[in-house]
This record gives sequence, C-alpha cells and structure tokens, in this order.
Amino acid sequence: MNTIRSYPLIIRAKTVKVLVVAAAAAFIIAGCATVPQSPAGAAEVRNKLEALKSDAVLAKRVPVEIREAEAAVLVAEAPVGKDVPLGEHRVYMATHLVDVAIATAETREAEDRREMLGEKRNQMRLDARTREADRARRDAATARDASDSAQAEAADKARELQRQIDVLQAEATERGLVLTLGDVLFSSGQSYLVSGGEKTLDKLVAFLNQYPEREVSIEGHTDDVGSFEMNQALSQRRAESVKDYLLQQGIQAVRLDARGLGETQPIAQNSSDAGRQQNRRVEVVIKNPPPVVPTASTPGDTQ
Amino acid sequence: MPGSNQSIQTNARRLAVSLAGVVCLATACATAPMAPTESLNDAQRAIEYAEKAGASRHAPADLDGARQRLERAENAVKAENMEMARRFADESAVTAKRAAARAELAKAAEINEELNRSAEALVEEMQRTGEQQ
Repeated sequence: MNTIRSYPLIIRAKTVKVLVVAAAAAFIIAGCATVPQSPAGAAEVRNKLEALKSDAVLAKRVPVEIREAEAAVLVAEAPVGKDVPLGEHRVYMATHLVDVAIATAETREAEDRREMLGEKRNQMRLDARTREADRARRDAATARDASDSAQAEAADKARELQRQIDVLQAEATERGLVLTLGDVLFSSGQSYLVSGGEKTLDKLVAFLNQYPEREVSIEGHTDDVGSFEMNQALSQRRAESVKDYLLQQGIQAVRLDARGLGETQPIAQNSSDAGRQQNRRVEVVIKNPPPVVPTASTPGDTQ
Repeated sequence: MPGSNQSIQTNARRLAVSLAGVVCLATACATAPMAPTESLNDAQRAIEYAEKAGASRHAPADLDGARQRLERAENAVKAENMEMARRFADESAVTAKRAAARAELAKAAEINEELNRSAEALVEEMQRTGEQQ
C-alpha cells in the first residue's frame, strides 16, 4: 500500500518533468513562431505593388504615386508584434495607396489613348476629305475635258461653215444663205449656165455635200422687160436649170425646190440698165437648218 | 446638396473638437493630448475633393467609407483617444483619395467609350458614302 501511495508521487514528478520538457519544447517552437513576421495582408499588398511596378505601360505614368505607395507598403511590412490593429491599419493605408496608384495610371493611359484616338479620327476625316477632293477634281477634270472637246468641236464647225459661206459668197438672211447667180452667168435670154456659173454652183454642191441637212430653194427672177408671162417662164426655166445642174452633181431631188418668180421681186429699179441687170438673177436660198430638238444623243450642239 | 450640409456639420464638429484640444493645451492639462488636426483636415479636404470628382456616382462605397471613418475619428477625439483618432482620420483620407481616383478613371473610361462609339459611326458613315460613290 505504501508503494501504491508513493507511485502517484513518482509519476507526478515524471509527468511534471515530461510536462516541463514538453513546455520547453513548446516554448522553443513557439519561440520560432514569434520570429518577427509581417502583419496579415502585407504580402498581398506587396504583390499588388510589384505587379504595378512591373507593368511598364502603367508604371511610367505614376512615378510619384508609386513612391508614396512603396513607402506605405514598407511600413505595412514592418513587424508589429502583437499589435494586430496597428498592422491592420498599416495594411489598410498601403492597400489604398496602391489602388490610388493603379487607378491614376489607368486614367492617364485612357487619356493618352483618347488623344491617339482623336488623332486617328482627324486623320480618317482628313483622308476622307482628301479622297473626296481628289474625286471632285477628277470629276471636274473629266467634265472640263468633255466640255472642252465639245466646245472645240462646235467652234471648228462654226468656223468651217463660215469659211464655206465665204467661199460661196452667199449672203446670210433670215431666209437662210442666199447665193445670187447673176445675169452674166446665164447666156442672154437663155436659161443654161455658162461655165462661170457652173464653177459657182460647184462650190454650192460642195457646201451642200458638207451640210447634207440643208435644203435649197432656187428662185428665178427677171427684170420687167418683156411680158409678165414670158418673164415668169424664163425665170422658171433658169431656176430649173440650176436645179438640173445640182441634180447632175448628185444632190438629192428632195432637197431642191425650183420656181420662177418672174418680175415680181425686183431688188433694184428697173428704170436703169444696172438695175435691170441686177434684177435678172437666180437666188439660191440655202435654207437654215431645221431647229435641233434637244435629245440625249446630241451633246454639245449649240444653236 | 447633402454633401455640403454634411461638410458644414463636420467642419463645425471638428472645430469644436480642435477647440477642445486647444483649451486643454492652454490649461496645460497633461491628460489631454493634441487632436490630430492635420489628419482631420486632410480627411475633410480629401472627401470634398472626391465629391467634386463625382465619387458619389462612380465610387459611392469608398466615399461612404471615408465619411464613416472621419466620423469615427471625431468620436475618438471626443473620447480623447488621439491615436485612434489619427488612424481613423488617415484611413478616411486615403479612402477618399481612392474614391476620387476611381471616379476619375470611371469618367475617363466613359469618355473613351463614347468616342469609340462615335468613331465607329464615322467609319460606318464613310463606308456608306464611299459605296454610294
């Protein structure tokens, strides 16, 4: 019984020893655990800051803000022992300053991008306007060329016509061009043309061939010597003589109209020789061309 | 504006708190340390700046957090816990700064978004007129 009573004592002592050893071990372990370490959350905010610093695009925009954040993160990383609230406070400060740096960097980047975008839009507008201007220039040049060539053509035509008229020695009247074949071109009292007359008519033939749309009215006139009916017949024969000649030269009959007007339309006084000679004539009237009805196929035609 | 009412009230409160500190100093009460007026001022200014930057629209949680912390700072001054007051005031200031920075970012993003939309419309328009030619 005595041994039983003393046994707990021995055990107690051993237990105490074990406990002491265990406690010592625990203290040692606990001692390792109490080596100064950063407060909770400090590592996270450090990582966040390092990520920002390694982002070249963002980091270069906020050097001041990064310095401020770095200072706060260093403070937050410092060990605080058991003062958990202090550690939390420091981590709070550091986290917010890092976030300020990130947001500021991103804002500045957005503004820079906006500037680039604005420039791009200006460039696009400039390109569009340049293209439009080029297009307008090309269109204008094309139109100018077309108008120029049409104008030049019309001018050439007009000049040619005038030349022909000059060659014809015809007179422009409201009836048309009037080519007067004088008395000398007909043998006296006769109706056939002398060679001089034919030469004049050849010019007329050339003109009529060049301007095929023109129609001709051949009018014979006489002085008042002789009877009215005789003069009428003579003037008619002379007109037809001219018509025959033109027909022989290939002018279409449909274009030719011959009539005698006798002594009814004198152009000079019949009282004098000169006057009578003037009245003895054949007038070849090259009628004015019919008015052109504007259609799509007649660009550049001018009256 | 609710913001300005709050600022007026806060200013009045802070003035009272600072006066209390000054009075204490004047009467050389050893048990009443200085209120962290600089931190409190910074916090107040930072909150006002954030409000102007549009934080109530773009960063309301941070703005609200900043105001709450400033209130706690003032309460801490009244309780004469100046260390806590300083910490709350500093936290208020930095929260307000984040609110402002995030509000600016949100606004910048909005503008870019709008510009992108109009740029796309411009491209579309030019393609259309290009086709018509």
